[in-house]
Amino acid sequence: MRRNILSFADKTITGEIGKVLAAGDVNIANADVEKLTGAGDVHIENSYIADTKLAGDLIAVDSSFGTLNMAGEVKLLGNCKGDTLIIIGKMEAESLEARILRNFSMKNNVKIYGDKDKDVNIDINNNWDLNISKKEYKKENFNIHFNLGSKNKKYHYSNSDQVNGSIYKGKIIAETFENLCDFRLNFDYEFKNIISIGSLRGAGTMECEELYSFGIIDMEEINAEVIYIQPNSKSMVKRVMGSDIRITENFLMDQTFLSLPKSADNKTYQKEASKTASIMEIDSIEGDDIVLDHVHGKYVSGENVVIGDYCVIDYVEYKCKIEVSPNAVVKNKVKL
Amino acid sequence: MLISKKELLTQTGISYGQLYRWKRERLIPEEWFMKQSSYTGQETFFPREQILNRIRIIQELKDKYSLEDLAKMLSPESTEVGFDFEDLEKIEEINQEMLPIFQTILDKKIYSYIDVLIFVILSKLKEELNLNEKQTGTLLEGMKAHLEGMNATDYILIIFSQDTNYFAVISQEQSPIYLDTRFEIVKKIRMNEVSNQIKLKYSKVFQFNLDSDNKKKTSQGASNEFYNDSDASPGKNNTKSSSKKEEKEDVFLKFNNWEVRL
Repeated sequence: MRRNILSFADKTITGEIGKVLAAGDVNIANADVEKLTGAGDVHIENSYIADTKLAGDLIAVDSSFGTLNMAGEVKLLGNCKGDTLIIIGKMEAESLEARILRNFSMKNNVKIYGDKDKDVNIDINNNWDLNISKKEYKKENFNIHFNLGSKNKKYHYSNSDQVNGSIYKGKIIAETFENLCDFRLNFDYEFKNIISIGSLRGAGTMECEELYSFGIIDMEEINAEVIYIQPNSKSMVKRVMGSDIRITENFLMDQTFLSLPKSADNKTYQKEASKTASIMEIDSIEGDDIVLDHVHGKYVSGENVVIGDYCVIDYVEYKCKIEVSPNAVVKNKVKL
Repeated sequence: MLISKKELLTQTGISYGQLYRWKRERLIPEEWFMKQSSYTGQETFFPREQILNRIRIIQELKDKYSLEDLAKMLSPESTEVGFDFEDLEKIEEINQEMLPIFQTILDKKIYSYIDVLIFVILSKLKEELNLNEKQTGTLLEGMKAHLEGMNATDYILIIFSQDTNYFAVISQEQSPIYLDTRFEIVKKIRMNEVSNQIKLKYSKVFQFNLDSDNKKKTSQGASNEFYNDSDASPGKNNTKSSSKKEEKEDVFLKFNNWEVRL
């Protein structure tokens, strides 16, 4: 049976360990840990931690994580890997490969042992439940305080920081990236799937296999196999290209979406998807199967095209089939 | 000599989905998507010959290789395989009579992929331009110093002549060259195209789609390694030797399976 450690000391933990409960800073090196719960800064080197819950900063060198759930700043050196990483805070990675990466907490994700009302104070409406889909992440600034006895931690998040700078730096690879807040894609990323309910901004072309945007998206070009974008007047996208493109108010939660690896609940996404759409402007859309509503565009070209309600499109080309809603305007329609 | 995107799709029968998938998979270089302004904001054009050629290759090979392997084969990055003399003899495209001459000029035992490519190109030139051995060798002599520093194949090789002398210019694919008009350009060769043919033809022989990913030593692996030779393995935890070790770690209190460290 593995031994467990309750650590109040800044000593190095090493070897095969069951649970580690750490109050204060802790060093873990050459270890295989089943579960780490920590409040304080953690330094990890050459280790594997199956389950981590942490409030504090994390520095990890050449280490792997199963599930990492934390609030604090993360610095990853060397090659680091993870299965499901949920991080509220900034991250800098020399090289990170994750299956699922999520940049905000949804609900009760960060737990710190101790009396959370007394010891931990998360200063978003003094509410432990970070239901970020509504007001909180749109606030200009917010602070997260952790008062841990002698150790006080204060994290300050500001929307303007995140819009102008980036909360992520370095090289980050993930199978699925779940964006739950305002986020800027201006680092070296390789995400196979992107699901976003916050705002996602970047320059140039966003490339991925599957993109689902239920929030705001601001990109010059999007090139993906499967694209769903909920039309939003605040989004700014010039060109969209791919195989299966749906820019429409009604989101069909199909098997493709359900089978994506993700950490947030499908219900959360369903809730976001049920919002009302607003007119989105896009210069050109090129794809095989295209379904649109609430889109004002100059050029649409595809094999099977559905121009739904509230669309105004200057020029539509189609190869096989076209459907145009009576509530849409298509100025030129050409069969190829 | 450009081709518009629409014309490309009609001519090749591929769909937008395929075109953009291949772009994402780096089978079609981004530089080939050339944007020009039009009424929709922008229209995309491609270098005609190159894109048609590329799409033909992809269509032929996409069922035989994974898109990932294909991308490696078609990438302008040179390969890191070294070729010895025996390897060179296997490449039909290299003029075997010229081989000893090439060898003397470069004077090395292991040849880079770029060297091989230049041998192939020179062999082809020798035949097409009817060059003699000395002219062919001199061209190699002239390029020799530049070959070492080249590690990609997205170059254009231009051969020009003045009187009976032939000269070579190697330039980046996309950058224009303005040559003194008194020189006569006799040949322009896109090294990438030759490279693609060679890579495809000899992919089985030389394993061009190399897995240079030898760094499989992940952090997970590293930690496992540690356990294999460490004394912290389970089962030893309750022995005397390990409890000694634990004392060193300032164990304040032990109960059940928990240690308290202060």
